[in-house]
Amino acid sequence: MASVGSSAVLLGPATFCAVTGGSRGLGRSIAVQLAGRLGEGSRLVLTGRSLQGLQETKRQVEEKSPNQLEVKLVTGDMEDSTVYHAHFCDIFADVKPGTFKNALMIHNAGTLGDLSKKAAEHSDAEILNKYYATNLTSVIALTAKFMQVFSASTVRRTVVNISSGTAIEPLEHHALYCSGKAARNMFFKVMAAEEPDVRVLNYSPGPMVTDMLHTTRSCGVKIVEDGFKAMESQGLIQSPDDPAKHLLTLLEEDTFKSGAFLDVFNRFSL
Amino acid sequence: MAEGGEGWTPPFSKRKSLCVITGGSKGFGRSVAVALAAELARDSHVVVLGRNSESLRDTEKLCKAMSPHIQITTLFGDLSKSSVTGSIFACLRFQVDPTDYKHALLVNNAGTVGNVSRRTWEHSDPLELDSYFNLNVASAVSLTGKFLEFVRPGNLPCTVVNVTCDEAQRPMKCHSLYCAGKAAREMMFKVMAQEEPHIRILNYNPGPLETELKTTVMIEAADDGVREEIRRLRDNNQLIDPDMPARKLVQLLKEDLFKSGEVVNFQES
Repeated sequence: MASVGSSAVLLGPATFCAVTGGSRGLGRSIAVQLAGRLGEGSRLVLTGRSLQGLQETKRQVEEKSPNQLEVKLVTGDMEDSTVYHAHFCDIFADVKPGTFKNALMIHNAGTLGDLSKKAAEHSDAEILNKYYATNLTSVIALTAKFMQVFSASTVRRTVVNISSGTAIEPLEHHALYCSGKAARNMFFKVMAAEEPDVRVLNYSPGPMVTDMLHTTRSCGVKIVEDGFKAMESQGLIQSPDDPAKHLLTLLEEDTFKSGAFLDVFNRFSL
Repeated sequence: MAEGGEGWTPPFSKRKSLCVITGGSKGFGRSVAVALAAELARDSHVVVLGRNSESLRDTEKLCKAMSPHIQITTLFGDLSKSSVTGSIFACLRFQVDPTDYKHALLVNNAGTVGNVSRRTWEHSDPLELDSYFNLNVASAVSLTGKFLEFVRPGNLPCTVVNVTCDEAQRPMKCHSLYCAGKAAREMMFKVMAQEEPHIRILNYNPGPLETELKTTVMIEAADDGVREEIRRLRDNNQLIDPDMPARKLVQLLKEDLFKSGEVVNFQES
């Protein structure tokens, strides 16, 4: 259901948007799609580990943006939780109260974890902690900062969690990825329940031609590689541009139930 | 379905089992330790991990009173610290020889509900979050891996239990961390069940229990409705005595008919 009482259009003028993992893949595609839709006075903040990658995304965004969209780049590695504070301050720097009518947080950055290991082989707690720090703690803490910065009820707030079918269905050799996605999905469902004024969406983009897919495809584990060949033969692997477009359409239509898990192919009846 | 065939030993038969339970100083963990002690064969060994030495001793006394023929070891350890899982087995190596046993059981029970006085967006301290997921997710996973490694020389049939709850699948206000952590664990053990056809894995939901965890929520939850709901359950005697689902769990393990990886709810069984 669309939120009542707000006259601002989701992606209209004066929208603040942050996209994590914007240096490549789906993050880049989302940024480029946003470029044409963010109205005057908007700001797009892209985060990622690779400055070079972020700069290329910025170049593509500026090419497409008719409104001289302000694009800001913030580099950082979410494995180390001691850097979050500075990193998050950078993301939201110079956000003066009243400047933005809409605020959109897209949690896209994520890592796969070591695909060569089975769940029972993940016995090193340090590695596990780094994984959950990167994929779970950072997302929760960043959401907290986002909500603190955009606390006024006059700002229409939307939070998107880039999820995966693996949040719902177990996948061999993806123990860390599945468990992290499952955790995020539930976290954002609770957020949706607690915050009826915030639009929350768990979005599963499906398999895409990205570096992440390439890693999976060439991991050397037969059952994983076979799984991807099967998806390929079913025509499920797309350019990340397609789910990026679909996501933005969902956000613009704004009819999704807050907290819903939506898949690009509607594969999961929930 | 239980495995059959030559060489397979059903758990809790007349032969010795090695059992490790986390979070055994109180609540459901204690109830499981005692329920196991009642059913295990002579000379089986129950290792109880917990964070409160005095309470661990009480658990030990209750287990010994239930069955003087079982060996009980208590180990103090704070699973929110990542070094602890390694040191648990380093310590056990001196006391336990897995080749002495015919079955191995791990019950991942330790867990906390998180700060329920905070809304989802108030969880801003990364160190607190890291510590939470370390205790509630990472430690259960690494402990399981180390446990399986530890018992491997004995070539024992293994069962791993993950204690789960409604909140792993049902979002509940004030419980964002608990829901996230439990969802992560359930999923982790479902993946494990797919990958390890020779390990019996059970996600067991004992239901809403009459324990300190629920008392904490009833007092501290930020949302009136959540506090009221627990109060209502308590007043209507709908909070479950942990001994009951503990006994049911042991029965399920004995029967060994569950589908590996499935979630079994005490309230529906």
